[in-house]
Amino acid sequence: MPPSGRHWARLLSLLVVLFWFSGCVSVPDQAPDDQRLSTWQRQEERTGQLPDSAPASRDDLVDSLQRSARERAAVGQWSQAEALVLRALRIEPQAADLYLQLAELKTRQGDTTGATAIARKGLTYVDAGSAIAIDLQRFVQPE
Amino acid sequence: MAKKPTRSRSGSTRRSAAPKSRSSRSSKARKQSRGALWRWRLFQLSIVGAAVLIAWMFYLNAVVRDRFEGQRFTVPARVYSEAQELYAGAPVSADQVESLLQALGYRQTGDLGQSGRYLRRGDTLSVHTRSFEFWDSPEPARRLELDFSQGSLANMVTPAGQSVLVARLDPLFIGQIYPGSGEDRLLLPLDEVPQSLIDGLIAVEDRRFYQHWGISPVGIARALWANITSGSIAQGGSTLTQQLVKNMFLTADQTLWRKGNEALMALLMEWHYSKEEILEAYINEIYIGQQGRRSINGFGLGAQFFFGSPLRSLNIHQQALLVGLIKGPSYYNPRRNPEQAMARRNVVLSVWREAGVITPGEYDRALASGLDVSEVPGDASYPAFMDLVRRQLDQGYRRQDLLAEGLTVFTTLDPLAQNHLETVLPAGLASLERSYNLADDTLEGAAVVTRPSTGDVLAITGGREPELAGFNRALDARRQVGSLMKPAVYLAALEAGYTLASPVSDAPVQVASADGDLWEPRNYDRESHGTPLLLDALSNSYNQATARLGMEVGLAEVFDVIDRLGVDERLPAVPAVMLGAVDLSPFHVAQMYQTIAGNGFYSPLNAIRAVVHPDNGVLQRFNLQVEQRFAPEQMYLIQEALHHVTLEGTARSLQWRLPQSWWLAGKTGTTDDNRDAWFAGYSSDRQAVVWVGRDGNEPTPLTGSTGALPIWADIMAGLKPNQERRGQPATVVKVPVNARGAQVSERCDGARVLPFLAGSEPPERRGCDADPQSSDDSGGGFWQRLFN
Repeated sequence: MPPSGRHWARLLSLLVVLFWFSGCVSVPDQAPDDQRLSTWQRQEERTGQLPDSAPASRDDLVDSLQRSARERAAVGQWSQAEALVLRALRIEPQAADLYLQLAELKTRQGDTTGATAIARKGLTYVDAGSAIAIDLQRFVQPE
Repeated sequence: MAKKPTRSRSGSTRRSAAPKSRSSRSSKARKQSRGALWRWRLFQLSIVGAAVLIAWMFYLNAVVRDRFEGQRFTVPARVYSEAQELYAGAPVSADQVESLLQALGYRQTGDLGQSGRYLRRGDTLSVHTRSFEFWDSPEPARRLELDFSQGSLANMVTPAGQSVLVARLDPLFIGQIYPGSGEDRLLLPLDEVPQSLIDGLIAVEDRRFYQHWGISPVGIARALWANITSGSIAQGGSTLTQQLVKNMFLTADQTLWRKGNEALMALLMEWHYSKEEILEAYINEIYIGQQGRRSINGFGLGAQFFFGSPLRSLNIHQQALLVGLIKGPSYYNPRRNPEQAMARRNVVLSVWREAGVITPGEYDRALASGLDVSEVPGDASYPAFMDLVRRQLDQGYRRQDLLAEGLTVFTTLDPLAQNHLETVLPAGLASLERSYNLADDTLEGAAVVTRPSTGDVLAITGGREPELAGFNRALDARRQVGSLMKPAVYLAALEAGYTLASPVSDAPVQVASADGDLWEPRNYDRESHGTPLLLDALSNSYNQATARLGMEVGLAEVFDVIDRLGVDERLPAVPAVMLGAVDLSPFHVAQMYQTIAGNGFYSPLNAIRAVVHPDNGVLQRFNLQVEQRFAPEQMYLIQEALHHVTLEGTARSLQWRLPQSWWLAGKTGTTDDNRDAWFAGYSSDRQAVVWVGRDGNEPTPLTGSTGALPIWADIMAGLKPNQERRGQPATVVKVPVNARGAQVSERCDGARVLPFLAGSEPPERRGCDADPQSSDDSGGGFWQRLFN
């Protein structure tokens, strides 16, 4: 049965009411952000929950660079691997495990003298007897 | 060769037949003969002309092919700074990153749709970074939201809120090395050039490009007509090929000879090469700007230079401006003459609309856009640092390798540190002049900042006007270093078995040199200070105690330590060297203290991270060189002594100049009559050396503490080194000692805990005033021992 004129009038009035009230509805996504909050906090406020991923840290970055270096080393790309560790070292200049990784890379390239020097320097950043000190000591060739 | 006909033979035959008719016939014959002669001569000339033309064409052909198939473009070695690493926790403030973005030519705008743009809102920066091909890996362009807190980068996410581990800003272009012609360009293959730009270029400069063979008679006729009607040279009839030929091989002279050559070479070029090859060459060759002696060639560099964005990400209105610049790069320079540039851009846009390159809608939008030019070209000039780069390249490369076209040199320069240094040093010198009532601009200075872990040189200033490429004091000013040399004496003593608590006599001393001269060093205050501990003698910079100690240890041992610290200069073999009577540059001093800051490991100071060849890839990359020169224990002790200098010694003002929580180590240096004021020191992974003095070596009222140290403190305040301190070597113990160097109870007034090599610490004594040499029985009785 085709809709009557009364039906059309009802539909029209319903639409008018909808449009009228639509102005009262708040739209969180378009609300001005509070600039005093960080992006992190703003996103938390907007979504009402923690963002999808936790904020990265310096340690995460150094770990990631070390991981990438290991991957490069695994396929024999020594220079690239070394460059990644050095990049990490510029971020964490006293991280002994970076010296350990550099010493390993030097050794695998046959540069035992270089490995010894790097390992010796790494040893200056660790407490004697620690696990990493023992690892570093393995690369120190007797003079 | 054809034989020349003679008139006499035919003439005599006709004369003998009939005189009258003979005369008319002979006249006709003469005319015919003259015509034949001229024709013959013309023919001969044509032959000669054609031969010359062919020879000339062969020559021009060789020129065209030689250049086009060989080294097509001059591309000087381009030098870049270190890239700023962005990661959560990076010690950079929003202000610093914004200043760096501005130096890189990023534009602040709410529209971040294009790389090379940013928006600052409070402590948040939204950035659309540029892509860059680094020597170790490519960096993509991306949108980042950076949140800063308390002077460091707290968080970095994508606009969607995804955390980003690390990103690199593109490095700052800091200059060229050995430019052959001053031309600079970024070579782009044709497929990386937007089609709209190609179509637009052809529409404006050479509509019949795909139809003609290098020259366009129609174009020439049109230009001729336009010039005749306008009464001036309003239009050129040159094709793109002719323009390319002119730019590549010829001068801009308006002579027929040059135009003729241009036409011939254009024809030859079209004969040998495809339209695409010619177009690609044109796009990389065309001159569109100038920066000092540097000529900006090609659209690739033009986009970077004027808009701070790669060519492929330019909008229509920006592309139109680039094409418009071809007509007059100086007159239409958008930074200098924005109105003319805007008018020219709009003319280009209207041509594009008429030619159908853009739609009317695109035209309207482009017309409504501003010029969108970056304020600065996205580069910087650091002559003192570039000087060092050149010298280090000269040491490691042959000149012809450096002249290979298109090398990219990645350096260790930290633009933030460099800009900070260039601000702090002149300001510090001006402040000293005001404080000491000195005439303006009479003091000079130099400074070097390094990263001890790797030996990277991060910043250098060669004078108070760092932008001038004059005398580079950081590298070339050899000045007496004064007390900066003392740590070598104390290090030699520690190696010889002395401890930081060893008593050292500060009584006046006389040393006879080999030639009979008497050396009598005096303390700065002209007084003797009894028998201070070795630690105090160093931190108070006592000359007499140092000279005595050095002579006790042995001059050869001290010189050996100086050598191992990395001073490779030939030093005079005299005891005065121990107190710094030796001329060294700030760079030499930085190398020397680098070994101390590097825990006793020598690493050569280095300004070059990598050198990349456009075809052969990485030619050289930085390789961490470390060479152990000192035992970690002795180095730990001297570092503690230098730390003590900043706590209680000549550099104690650092306690209020910088946060007290910072671990600092360093040494002041002052020479006779205060001619030189030095401070060398480090904190965690940042080392700086500052020299202040006068070029003419005249006295100043300044000491290391009052002249160089305040500037050093300001440098460090801006560098904000991470405060990390390595662990103590296992063989080092710390025990409390009294002012006489005896190990006493920690509860004694004035007892200080000092580090000792295990086994070298003084024996325990009872009594707070005990003498280290005395036995326990000599001092105090039962009651005193009980309460100790």
